[in-house]
Amino acid sequence: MSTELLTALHVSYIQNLGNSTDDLMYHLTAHLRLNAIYWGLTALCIMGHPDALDKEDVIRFVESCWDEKAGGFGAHPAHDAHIHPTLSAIQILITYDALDRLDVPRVVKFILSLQQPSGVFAGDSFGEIDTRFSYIAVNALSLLGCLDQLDKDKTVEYIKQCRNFDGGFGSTIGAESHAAQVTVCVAALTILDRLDEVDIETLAWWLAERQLPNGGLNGRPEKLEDVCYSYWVLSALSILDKVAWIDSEKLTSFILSAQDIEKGGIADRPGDMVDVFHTQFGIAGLSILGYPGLVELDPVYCMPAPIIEAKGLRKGRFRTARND
Amino acid sequence: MANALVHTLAGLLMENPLLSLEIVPGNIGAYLVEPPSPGQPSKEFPFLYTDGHLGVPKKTLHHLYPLALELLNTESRKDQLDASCVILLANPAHQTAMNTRKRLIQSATLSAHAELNFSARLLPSSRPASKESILWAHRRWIFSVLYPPAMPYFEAPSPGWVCSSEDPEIPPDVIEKEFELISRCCEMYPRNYHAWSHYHFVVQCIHASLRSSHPADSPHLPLFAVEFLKLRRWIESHVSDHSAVHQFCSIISLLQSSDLPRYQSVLAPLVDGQFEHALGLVASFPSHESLWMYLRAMITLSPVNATTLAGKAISSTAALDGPFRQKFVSWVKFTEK
Repeated sequence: MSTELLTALHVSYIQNLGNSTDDLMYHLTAHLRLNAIYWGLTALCIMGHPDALDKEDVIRFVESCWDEKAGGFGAHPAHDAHIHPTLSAIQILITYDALDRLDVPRVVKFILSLQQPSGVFAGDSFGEIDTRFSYIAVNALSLLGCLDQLDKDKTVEYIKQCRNFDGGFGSTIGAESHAAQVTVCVAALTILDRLDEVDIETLAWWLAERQLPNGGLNGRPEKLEDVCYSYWVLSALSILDKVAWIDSEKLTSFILSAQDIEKGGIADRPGDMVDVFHTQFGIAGLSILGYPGLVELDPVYCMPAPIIEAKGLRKGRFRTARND
Repeated sequence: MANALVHTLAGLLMENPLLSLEIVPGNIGAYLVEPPSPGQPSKEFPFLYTDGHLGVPKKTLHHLYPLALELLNTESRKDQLDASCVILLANPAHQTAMNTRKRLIQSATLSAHAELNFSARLLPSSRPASKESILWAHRRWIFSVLYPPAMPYFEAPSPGWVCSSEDPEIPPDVIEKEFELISRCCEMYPRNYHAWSHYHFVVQCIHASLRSSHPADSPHLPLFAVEFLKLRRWIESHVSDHSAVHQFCSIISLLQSSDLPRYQSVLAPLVDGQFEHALGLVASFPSHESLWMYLRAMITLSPVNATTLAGKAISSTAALDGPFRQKFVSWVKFTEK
């Protein structure tokens, strides 16, 4: 167990992820490949190593995931376009300041085509709906500077109806409150300047109750603690300016205890297998907690704050005088 | 030979009737009493098939996975169909394989009814499958293909329920089977978020059917009442399942809205006594957060009596110590602010 963030090990863990393309595990996770690159790249940026991957290789891979028929990105070459990897592609290209490699009008058209009459977004043309996809649409359109093309009221209307009496939000109307769904809904409302739809005190109370005696956070009542909720719960608390409602010191120790001290990477909880998803969200959580030496993460967009700052997209209390 | 195995396995996965499907550890060697005789792959080799129960050795499945991925990208619809069966058994989150099956239904290569059966055996086949959101969304998509919408309506009956609905009108016997499938998957993966969200969808379909022009003896009515009581019993026997508690409270909120006046005589009495139910469960299992959340919800859902109920809850739980009781008391103070 380590009491410090093992940055060098995590950097090499992420660098080596692309080297095992013959593994069964590589094939079994291909449907998350583009997302995984976004997670890895963002973690590297937060650790101060934005150049640890071969930029041109990564961009070429992103381009190879383009689904020409749909006008969006799949998670892997030959996979169908979906809104989730499409956001990952945009995030990667923006991080590398390579948006000129993207057919912006077509991607915007693809995203807008997924909005349903109720206001919620579908993941693809077959229509699975989820507030995750609403957030993805809002986030992507905002990053591309095309938020003015979105029917904002309709988007907010659906999210609003997903609010439960515990103050939290679910994946669809009537679904249980879930910390990750809370974050996507709160972040989408923040981007749309509609945080007034959130019952801040009730929600922060529910979020603070996610901390368990061992310091870790869970995503909903009676679930085990999991490092990824360090981000999902904290980002929402950070947007609501209530991070002080949880015990930061205990959470920091919990995240650090889930590191693989030999090969790098962070697991969902101590002793489990590491993966890039938990590595990214563990480091993201530490950044929100102000862990020394880390680059600030923007909790609304889940990208390095300097990049969001440069685009003039910092929101609410994260906005500096320079943006106004 | 290897591709033949993909087709053999796919045939078994789509076969009717298949009573159960399970991924078993290792490969066939671990299960054979005698060495196999050489020949074509069959039900019994290298898979385990007995009396309608199929076991697929994990190592064999993983061996077939990359082959199935290649077959998925061929032009032949039969290859695509068989490949997608194998891919989804090994990796239920493979969106493109799932989409391929939807396209095969659209082109009438695959029947929607057959797909409903396949999906019902795939979901409880493993823990990852049971909780996979795209598998549940796939069922909703199939229902929308099979059944026309009930009469649409455009106002929300109560918070937490859709304000405009074009939910399919699903026959009562199909709904009953859907509830059974959800229960199996919630046993396989407890506190199963997407299974319980799907439960909400099914209840919404019952509600939509009751809203449309049905007579007072609609078969959906007893179904609704019976399922409500089943859910209540589920909470008693799954005291850490907050997802179930959430759905139960959500239905109570719907019933309170008196949105179905024609059925009030059957539905209204269901709402009574739930605060006492929650209080009794908390007293029996005070270390379960879900039940304390249930108690909170019962107080929140009675805005007129909230203060009285909260006071009653605090005094009658006074003998129960522990973190959740303390949190409950703080919560009451917080909400009264």
